[in-house]
Amino acid sequence: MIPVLLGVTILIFTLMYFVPGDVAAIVLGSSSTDVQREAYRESMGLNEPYIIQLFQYIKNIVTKLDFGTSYIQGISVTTALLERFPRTLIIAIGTVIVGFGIGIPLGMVAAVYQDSLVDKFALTVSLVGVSMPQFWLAEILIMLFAVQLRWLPSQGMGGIEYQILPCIANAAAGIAGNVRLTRSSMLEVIRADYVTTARSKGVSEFNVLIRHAFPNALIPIVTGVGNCFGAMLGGTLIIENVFGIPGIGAYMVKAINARDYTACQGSVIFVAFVFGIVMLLVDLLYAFIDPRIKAQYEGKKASKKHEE
Amino acid sequence: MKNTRILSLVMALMMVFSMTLCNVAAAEDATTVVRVGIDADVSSISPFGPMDGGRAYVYQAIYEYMAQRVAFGASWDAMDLVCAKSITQVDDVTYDIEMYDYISDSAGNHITAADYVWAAYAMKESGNYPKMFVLDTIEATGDYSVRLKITDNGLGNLEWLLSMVPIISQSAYEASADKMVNNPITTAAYQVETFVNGSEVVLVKAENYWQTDESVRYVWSKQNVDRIEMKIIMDATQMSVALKTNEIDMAELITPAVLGDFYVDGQATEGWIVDAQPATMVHSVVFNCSADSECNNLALRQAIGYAIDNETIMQFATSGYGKVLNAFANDCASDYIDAWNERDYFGQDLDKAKALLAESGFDTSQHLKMLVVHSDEYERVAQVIQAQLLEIGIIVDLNVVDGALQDTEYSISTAWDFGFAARGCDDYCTFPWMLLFNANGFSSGLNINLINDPTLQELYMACSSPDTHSEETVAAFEQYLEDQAYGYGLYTGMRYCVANSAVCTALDMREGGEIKIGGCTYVWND
Repeated sequence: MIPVLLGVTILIFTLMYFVPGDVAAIVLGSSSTDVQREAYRESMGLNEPYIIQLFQYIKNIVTKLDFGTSYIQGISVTTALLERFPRTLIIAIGTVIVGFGIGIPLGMVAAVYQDSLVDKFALTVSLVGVSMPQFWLAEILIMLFAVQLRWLPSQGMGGIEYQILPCIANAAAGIAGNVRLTRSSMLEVIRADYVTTARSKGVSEFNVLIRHAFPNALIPIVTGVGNCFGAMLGGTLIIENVFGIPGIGAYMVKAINARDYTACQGSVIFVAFVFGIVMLLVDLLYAFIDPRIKAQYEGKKASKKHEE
Repeated sequence: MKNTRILSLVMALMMVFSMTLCNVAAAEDATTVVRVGIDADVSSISPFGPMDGGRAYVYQAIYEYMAQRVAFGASWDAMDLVCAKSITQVDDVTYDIEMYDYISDSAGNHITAADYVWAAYAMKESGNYPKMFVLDTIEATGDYSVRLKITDNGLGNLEWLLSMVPIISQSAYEASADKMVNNPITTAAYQVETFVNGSEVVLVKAENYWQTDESVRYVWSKQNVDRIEMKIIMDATQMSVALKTNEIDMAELITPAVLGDFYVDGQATEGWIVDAQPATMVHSVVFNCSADSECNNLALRQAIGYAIDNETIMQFATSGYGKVLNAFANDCASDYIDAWNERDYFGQDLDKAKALLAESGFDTSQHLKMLVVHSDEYERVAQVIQAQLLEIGIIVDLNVVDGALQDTEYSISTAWDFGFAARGCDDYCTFPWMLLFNANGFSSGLNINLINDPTLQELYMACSSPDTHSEETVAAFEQYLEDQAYGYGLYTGMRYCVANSAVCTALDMREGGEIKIGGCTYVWND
């Protein structure tokens, strides 16, 4: 993960360094004089050579976890990201729960009743979910649940009631993928010999699916959860904008539009770091889910010990 | 018997407990709250933080200043004094200010002249306000008096300085770990209880507000409401939804697209109060008159001016909630000349446009580049202009840039031929002229047209200097601008603020802008 993060840091820093636009002119405006701009560049260390700036930037991140100060807001990028991250995290968790909470059962049913009306219904539902634009679905949900029924708030932050509509709107598109992923994973295992053996031993169909088939189909699903979760942690601009949630996505896009280079850099590196952690956790989860993978690691350990 | 006693004791305790709760609830209900939707993010509430759309809604609530403008064009001696007791002019550029000697902030820090001097220089050094160049020197002449010297007596310079340097305690600022980024300690009538970047700003009435003489309190300091919750709602539809679902009581800005639920045929619908004011922006076309552009040809510039239909542009841009401009100025300005409304100005006349195009000798096989800032409204306008110019045979390519890069792009002579520019007008017509046509205001020495026209510059200096600013000099500049077709005004929009009449009975508006929330009249004030 460290080489990946280093590569991302160097890449994004280099891109921001060479992107058009003078930071001093952007921050101070066209009415600022050359002297003022030069003084600003000097104070921000922007006159240093590329390598020096890059080295200083990496050093600050590694030693102080300092992503710099936002040119536009004048506050620490690290502080802003840490402040916004929990909000995005809650939305991400909610989205995964909704997305996979609907997608997995639907996918399992579709697999069990393959080619039946139930299968077709499940696939149609998932197709509808992926076809609806997020912002459109968000507005429809708001109109129905906030304006007409007054059951839920239309926007803002607060308790769990503020998270329901954003999570549903965010998860809808992913449900289709989750259904298909689960369906194809289940179809691979549902006709396996050990499943047939379990049935022939008189195990109930429910237990066959849940205790024998599903665990073996879980690996690709866990990967899907990890990918989805990691992507959500990068922030979903549309949902954050519509529902007024100041998360990572809104921060990143605002930084890009305002040419706030330090905020852009910090956001990208932060998202890469978080995504890396999520993937690491997914890899660790494999060992818990699949005893064969765990056994592989234990086997390697044992053979190393034996050699010693 | 014993059980009866226990039961009686429990019931008595329950009675006491419920009575306590009722009292607490009653106390809480007595706090008046108004929830306001604002349509822009508040990046920073620190005293010297950069001004942006969101901060403009809150800075007058959070901080106090020496004085505030009462109307566009009001000079320093007509301003509302807030922390200043008096302002006296010594000479053209020197002013003596006497402060109240009993100003203190919410933490009890006593404010003196030294604090104000420090704040002025700190604001200048922050670099967030390039216009602080107007401050030459400031020094304390006593515990509560300062002598302020400005660099030039340009229109609005002193007024800007008096209304923008915050009154804060130097010791409190330096003691603040985050330099008052999240919890500023101020002298204002409202203090920040919560600031969540991108979400909300919550202000509560300062119980120990220093100005006990209510007769001289600035409007924001009237404290007509105990608690103000400002919620940042960027999406226009969500703003409307929040009003209708009572999640907010007021909206600082309702766009025309969703106005229909609150305002029909010039009247507010039942249950709502609507304030409609012309916006202060001047949306305009400006030309690149450098040697690198085809638009250095006067006839071509005029042809473009007569090919564009301002009325159609305005309709597209504002959904009909706007007005066409008849000058490179907005009639909100105090020095706007009413006679401009009656004159012939640029506007669609296709025959004239074609004749001028032929006169210019422009080769219509060449394309012109139009510079436009990336936004829904501006890009729609640009597309309409494209179509209208095509009617006379001019093909236009759009060069769409982000707002942060527009100044840079305008300075590149090969990047554009004409552009769609928007600048605020506010107090004086000369403000957008200063920002666009004053060559001295650009580090390159060339104005927005990428030229330095001595006549234009001379006329600008005449109309922008307080000594020579008059209807004649203003008219002369505008006429020259029109004659040379360096640029011309297209349209301006309208601003609509909406309030729930069940909460607010009368809005108090800053001219051309925001609601003065602390000074509005609410149902509990009646």
